[in-house]
Amino acid sequence: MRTIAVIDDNPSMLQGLDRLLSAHGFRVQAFPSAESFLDDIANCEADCLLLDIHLGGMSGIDLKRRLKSSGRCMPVIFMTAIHNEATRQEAFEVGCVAYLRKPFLAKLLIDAINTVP
Amino acid sequence: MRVRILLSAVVLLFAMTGEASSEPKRVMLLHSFGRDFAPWSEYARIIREELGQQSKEPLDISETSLATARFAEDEEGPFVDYLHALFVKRRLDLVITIGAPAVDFFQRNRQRLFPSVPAVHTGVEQRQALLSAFTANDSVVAVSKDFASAVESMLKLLPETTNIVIVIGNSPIERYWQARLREAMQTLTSRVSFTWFNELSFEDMLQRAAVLPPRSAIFFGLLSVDAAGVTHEEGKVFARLNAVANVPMFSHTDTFFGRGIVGGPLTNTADVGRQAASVAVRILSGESPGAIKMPPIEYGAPKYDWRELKRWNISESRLQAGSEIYFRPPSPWDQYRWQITVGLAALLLQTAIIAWLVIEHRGRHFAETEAISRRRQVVRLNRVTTANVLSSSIAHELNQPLGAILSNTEAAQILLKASPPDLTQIGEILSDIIRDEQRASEIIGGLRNLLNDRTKAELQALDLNDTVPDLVKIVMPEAVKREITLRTVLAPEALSVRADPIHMQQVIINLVMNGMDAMEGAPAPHNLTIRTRRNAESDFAEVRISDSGTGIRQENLTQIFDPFVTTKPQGTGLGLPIARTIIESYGGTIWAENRLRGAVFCFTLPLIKARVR
Repeated sequence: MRTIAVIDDNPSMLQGLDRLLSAHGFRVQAFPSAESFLDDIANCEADCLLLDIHLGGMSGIDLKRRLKSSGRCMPVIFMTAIHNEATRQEAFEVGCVAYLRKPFLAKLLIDAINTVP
Repeated sequence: MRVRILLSAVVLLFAMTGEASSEPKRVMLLHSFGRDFAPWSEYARIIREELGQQSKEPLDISETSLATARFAEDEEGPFVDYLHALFVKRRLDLVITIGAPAVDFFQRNRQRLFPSVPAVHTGVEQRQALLSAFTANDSVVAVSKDFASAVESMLKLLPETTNIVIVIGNSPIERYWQARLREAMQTLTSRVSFTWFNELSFEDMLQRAAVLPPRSAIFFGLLSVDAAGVTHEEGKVFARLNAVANVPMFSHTDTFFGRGIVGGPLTNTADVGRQAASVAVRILSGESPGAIKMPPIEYGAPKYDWRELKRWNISESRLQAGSEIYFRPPSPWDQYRWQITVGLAALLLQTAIIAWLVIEHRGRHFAETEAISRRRQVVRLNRVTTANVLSSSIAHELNQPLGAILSNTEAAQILLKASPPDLTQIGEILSDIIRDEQRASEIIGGLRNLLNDRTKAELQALDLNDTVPDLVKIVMPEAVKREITLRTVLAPEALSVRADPIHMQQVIINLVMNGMDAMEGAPAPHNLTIRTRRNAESDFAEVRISDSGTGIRQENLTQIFDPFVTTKPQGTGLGLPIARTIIESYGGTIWAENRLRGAVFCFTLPLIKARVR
């Protein structure tokens, strides 16, 4: 069973994704902020990171950058409720499997997860 | 001795010359009947006036009345003696005779009374003048009387006339003229009958004139002495006759024009007087009387008395061409020309002013409507701009619940396929979906208000304490995004004001956004507080939005609400002016102050209770 770490500061969204991914048979580790994820990173067994870009506190992109600089090359699927082209480019530059605009269909998310080796 | 006599003679000569040149010329007017007998009295009056005006040297004018025209010639002896006595030592320079009897008297007694005095004879008809044997020392200013044409003219005016009454006296001169009149009327006897008053006393004339048969008219000829031998002043008898006459009266001279005759071709007394005076002046200036030949003066242009035409119902269309109408009452225009002109001018001026005011009013109304429309557009544009600024935050806020709803729904679909489905979890999911849907609705509702495009403000009573939390929902995501702590401190009591809730929301959002912008680049923490309270000193509600930014420069404090004044690189300079426009339109005031750290924007609005009171 694959583990997906979901980081979103919106509790509703976080819970909805938790339910959705669980229903699809994934193991979910949910975090309300980048900081809480970093605090618990040692226990994280995620195969893929579903990361909200606009987080209160450290942004999703900054977290990815930090992970990258620390040598952790976790596959990341970025998601955002505020889309703009600059953010999308930045997301791909920093490195991601997919870039999803909220609200998105489960199929897009599952397809993106499935691209992760 | 010889020299002395010569000098004395020269002095005497100069003295005599001086005396002669200083003496006024003596002129005597010789009347036929009396000084007050019309029409001769009128001739005399005009001659006196004209002599005074035309003569360049002083004149001594005396007047003497013959007063014997009604008597036999042999009775004039004492009068001649009187004149002889009067002028034997007083040299006369000119005699002016007025009327035929005076001419005859002068000619008969010239050798005794005025042997070398030049004379002007006037007031005499040309036919009578021909009867006199004038000398080289005489000049004549005669008139020509065409009685037939006068009566013809009368009949044109009153064609239905069947009887004409001729008023004439019975003195020698009047008998002469009665004969001339009968000759003249001879040609008209086939058309009308004539009644002659010459054999009546004046009292009988009055009685007859009062009861004349219809279609009669009176032609007033001459009346100095009636058949009873009573002497009359013509002006007076005419007036009495005119007062009783039941038919229109006509005459041959303008002496009675304006006193009761209808009019017609008339001898112009003034013309005769002027010409006689003119001849007199020429003679006094040295011209030979016999060399001055004056053609007889004929009737002037026909003239009519408007009042008599109306009195006898005579249409003006019957008057011959060139007739003049006198005594027509002045029209309102003639009478009040000045007043009417001023009135019209005032009316025109007033009309112009009213028209100008109406145009001005319409123009102003149009401009005001235009201004209101523009202001509404600008106010809405400001809301749209605000919404645009907030769009990313709003999109974030909206997409979050939508994303959660979608994820939960799809999770529920999968859970429902399980056997048995986990209904407890599905129930929780549905509750979360409802919660997220409500949240999304609130956000959309707030956005809808911001983008509303109503044509009129919708005034309603609202509690500012309710308005603030509503708008906080809209701006909170932006505050979170900018890491600003947004707090509200609401008054414990209700703050009811009458306003459009969208306008209130717009004002507070403008001030909040302004406060957020002011904190950009300012050191943390970034705090923004919306506070409502009741102004303790007045019946006004007060809203204060304070920030912890850099404050407002002192010189900008008063200008910050003016249009297009902005301290932000991306600002339109319209947010604060629009806020002021809205607040002032509700009778409130708005201002800005600096605080220890940052600035505070305040506005007041009258509380509803205060308005009722």
